[in-house]
Amino acid sequence: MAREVFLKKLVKDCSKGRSDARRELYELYASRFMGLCYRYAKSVDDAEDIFQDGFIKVFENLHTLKNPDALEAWMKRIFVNEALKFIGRNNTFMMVDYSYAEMRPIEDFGVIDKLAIEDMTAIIRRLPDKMRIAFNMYAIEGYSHAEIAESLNISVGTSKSNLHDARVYIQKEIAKLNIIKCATAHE
Amino acid sequence: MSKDLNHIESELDAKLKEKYANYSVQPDEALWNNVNSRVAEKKLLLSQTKIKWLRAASIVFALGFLGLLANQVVQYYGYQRNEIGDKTLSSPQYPSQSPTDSGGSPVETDSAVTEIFDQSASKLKVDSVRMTPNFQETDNTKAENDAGVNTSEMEPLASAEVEEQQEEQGNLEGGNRHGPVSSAPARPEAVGHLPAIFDRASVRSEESMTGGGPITVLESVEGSQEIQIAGSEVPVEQLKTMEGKWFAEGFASPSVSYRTVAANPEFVKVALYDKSYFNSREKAQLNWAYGLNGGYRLSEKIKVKTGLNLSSYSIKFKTGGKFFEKKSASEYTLYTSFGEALISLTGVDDVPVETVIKSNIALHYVSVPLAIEYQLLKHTAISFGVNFESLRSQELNWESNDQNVDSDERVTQISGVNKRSISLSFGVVHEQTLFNNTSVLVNPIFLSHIKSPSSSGPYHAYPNSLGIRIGVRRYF
Repeated sequence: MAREVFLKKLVKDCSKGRSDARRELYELYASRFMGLCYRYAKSVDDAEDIFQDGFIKVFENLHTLKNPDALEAWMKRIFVNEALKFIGRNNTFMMVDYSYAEMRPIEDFGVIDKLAIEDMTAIIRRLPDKMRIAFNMYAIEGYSHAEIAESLNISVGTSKSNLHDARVYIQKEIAKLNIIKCATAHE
Repeated sequence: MSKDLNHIESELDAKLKEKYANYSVQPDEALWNNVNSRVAEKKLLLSQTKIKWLRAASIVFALGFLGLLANQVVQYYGYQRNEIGDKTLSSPQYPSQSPTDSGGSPVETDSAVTEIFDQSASKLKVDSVRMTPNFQETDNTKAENDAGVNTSEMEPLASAEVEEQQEEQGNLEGGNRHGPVSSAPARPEAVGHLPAIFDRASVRSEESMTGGGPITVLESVEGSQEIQIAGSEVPVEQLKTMEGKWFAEGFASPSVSYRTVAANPEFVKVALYDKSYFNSREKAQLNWAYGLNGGYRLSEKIKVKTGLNLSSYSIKFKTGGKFFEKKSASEYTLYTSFGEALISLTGVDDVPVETVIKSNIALHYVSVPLAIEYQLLKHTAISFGVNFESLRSQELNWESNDQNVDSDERVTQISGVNKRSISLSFGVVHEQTLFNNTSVLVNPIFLSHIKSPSSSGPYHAYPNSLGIRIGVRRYF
């Protein structure tokens, strides 16, 4: 209840253009959404561009938010959209190595647990654009294939295919990483 | 054993979601400065754009208003000038007519016409009518005309007499639309009756635009009808006119309301309240008013009207913790300048003085206006009125900056508001004819309560509103 009231007031104050309220909102969500931008961008510079554009969009449109309880979900949608727009503007398609497609998915979830989040993020960021978007939106953000397809103006089948390729790519990267780690440990 | 592929994937996704649930990266401090400056920049740009548009709109509005005013003034004084000119022109141009043998005595027809038609302050041009010179007036008619009575007793000449007169007058030039041709500025031949609408009209002569000699122009306030001339009906073009003494009107009005506040003398005696009050944090609120009125045209210049109007006064302002008074364990009275609101606050021992309460007070009235309109220009009148207002409902919507001083019930009724109130109004009524007997009204109006809705509380507030009534008026 107290948090809801606080958020409502914060949103209202931001909508009125109060700089201190904007700062408060920024402090509250900056690191979380910077993390999101990191996952979608290929470089730190790109992530920072998406992050800034996202926050500007948030502040410009905050007055349209009818339900402050949904602030975080609303902001997430804005940041994801900004990321998609950014990637669309700087589209550099990478060739997909379909030799990955025959690989089996990871069955030992302990690998995921043991993997440092920075390593996992680095793998995600190395994914080709379309795979990265599909993987982030589906596996982490929890969007459906239909929503992804609509956002990217592609078919649901293409979205599924992109996700599958992403999984295989990540699996191979994790395997490679484990091999390297094992080799380092044996040495 | 290998697990089902979908199951594995969904478990993998769940692991990833869990891993990334609290994933965060601290952004560089410089990013905030960029974001803040770009937001401020955009806001400034937006406000500058808004200001530019507002300026442009103001200029257009001012020019439009000045144009309208100039048009009105030109029309008004232009008419005055024409009217003076007509008086000097019309008499000598009407041929004197000899007495007839139909029992009438000699009549100075020029002056008769002037008397018949030149009694009005009319501004509306009715039509240009070419008329035949065969005109006769009886003694009775002359007498009645002198008294401003309907000219229904004007009688046509016998056809032989007409011909005789026409011969006497010589050349017949130009053409009448439906009747004989006249070479001279004509006199109306009143066959049967001349409609009452021309009882008060002025007459003047001017050169015909199509050649064929001078024509006579009738000008009237009352409107146009059909006039029988030389035995045939000449339909005069219907003009947009306002006939009828009674009228009904309906309007809707966006308005902004605010309050003027003065200290309650009773409180000033016992407490150190300011005698005058100013709250810079008040904000005018947009409201709507509606109404149906009926009225009567007492004269060309004056109208009176009454009706039933619905209006609202809604004012947003900040008040403080000092206006809270504990009534019971969980109930507080919040004194407002419009009355007292009972607020339930559970688990609150005291409301700190520094607590700021944002409140929005709305008073809804039904009122009976008594208003008078005085016509200043052709389409413009000023109006004064008294409104007898009766309170329909009143509510307070409040919000505290202190999380402890909070309640789920944000809307509460205000008690102690006087059910009856009186307000005065002043406005400018611009009336533009739509079609016959119907006009559209644009009426900027200011309303101010002369009686405060509440006689209790530390301050007396008087709600005011400024609005633009837009409506339709129909004359009967």
